[in-house]
Amino acid sequence: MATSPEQNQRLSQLLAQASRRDADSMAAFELLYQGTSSKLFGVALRILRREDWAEEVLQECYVSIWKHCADYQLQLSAPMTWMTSIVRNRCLDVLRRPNFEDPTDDDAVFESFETDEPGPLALLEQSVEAGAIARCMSGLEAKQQQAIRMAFFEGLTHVELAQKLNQPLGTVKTWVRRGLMKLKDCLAAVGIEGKQ
Amino acid sequence: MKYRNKPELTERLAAEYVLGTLAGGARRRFAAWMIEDAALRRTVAEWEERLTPMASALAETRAPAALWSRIAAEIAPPSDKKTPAAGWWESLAFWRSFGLTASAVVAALAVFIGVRPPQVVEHTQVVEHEVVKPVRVSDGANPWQPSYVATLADSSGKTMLMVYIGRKSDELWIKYEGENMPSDTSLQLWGMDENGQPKSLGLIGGKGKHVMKLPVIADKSIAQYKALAVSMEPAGGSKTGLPTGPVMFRGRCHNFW
Repeated sequence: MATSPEQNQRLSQLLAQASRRDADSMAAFELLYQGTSSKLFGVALRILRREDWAEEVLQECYVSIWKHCADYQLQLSAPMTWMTSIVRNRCLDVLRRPNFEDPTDDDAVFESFETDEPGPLALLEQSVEAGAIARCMSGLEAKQQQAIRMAFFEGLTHVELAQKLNQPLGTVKTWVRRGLMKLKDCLAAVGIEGKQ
Repeated sequence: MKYRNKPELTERLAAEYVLGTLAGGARRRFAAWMIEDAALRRTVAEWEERLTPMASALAETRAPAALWSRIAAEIAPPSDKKTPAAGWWESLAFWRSFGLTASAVVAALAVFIGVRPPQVVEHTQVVEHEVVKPVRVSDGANPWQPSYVATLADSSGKTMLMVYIGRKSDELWIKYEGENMPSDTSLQLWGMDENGQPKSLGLIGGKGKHVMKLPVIADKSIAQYKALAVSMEPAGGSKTGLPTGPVMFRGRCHNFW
């Protein structure tokens, strides 16, 4: 998640305060919630496309973040990345549970970066990291870009991607694989690596 | 494991795990490898750092006001509960040496929040004091993505046993790394509630991986245990329903989602 270093530092402090489990911990956690829940709710809504599920996931994830905020210090990622990954993983879990029914299997879900309010480019350029991924994404071939976006924003598997894009499974896998490796090279070239 | 010593494959799987295209059995196997492989977790964290900023392109949406109240209610400290009495399992002073291992494992496992639960299983009856027997499974087999995980260490802090359970599963998976016990003894696994009261979960089946049946799904059984411990008992397990022998291993039980 694109977050400025100052924001990330603030979020780390709040996580640390919450993990102390003292009189101020709940207040710190509430601040953390206030500062992050709109972003994370947006992520869950986008992947799940159902408000009730997104709410349920968010509730589970914040409870989980509360339980594990003491362990955050040992994480390798920035706080917003850590929390976003928790929410995305939980959403994927919900999408892939048995007997899942796709709530809105229509073309509206194909919207991507360009249609998001309030101006995805403006949002993307708010941080170096997000600017870098946006630039690197735009350097991919169109089909690689589309496959990666759909997978990331809609939580699609290779098989689902192949169906939606009406392409052989092997072809789609290749697009994803090559696209990801190009992204890695591109991001390395602009100096974005995991927190070390 | 096949992915080891294949950095390109590892890299690809990690990227696809983070992107989300890795699905089904492959996703579950990958998540299980992550439990045991710090380098793999680092590779995954790097991919999270690369791809997650894409999420910032998404519109923020204010969550309903009631959501915070529900979260706050769930995490509020229990005001009416007394401090749990120290149980027999608190008597040995090796929590300190154990603590580091546990935190490291938890840190690694926090990323597993949100993996697919197995199907809900039916409630089965359990007869009191009857000790559950484990079933051996092949070393290559892995549990559904665990939501409850415990690592149990011996008095030197060495991890001897790992326990994994899916939240809606009644299958408790054990990986035991110690030696088999003499034939006149058994190792018995206990769940400790917050008052330190032990409840038998069953016998450890010797070195390797085993599965044991819980009386009810983990959310209704394992959820109440703060810690797990293993004691040495007469062959077949304690006849009293309570531990009678020395504690061999112990560890906190973590709930990931």
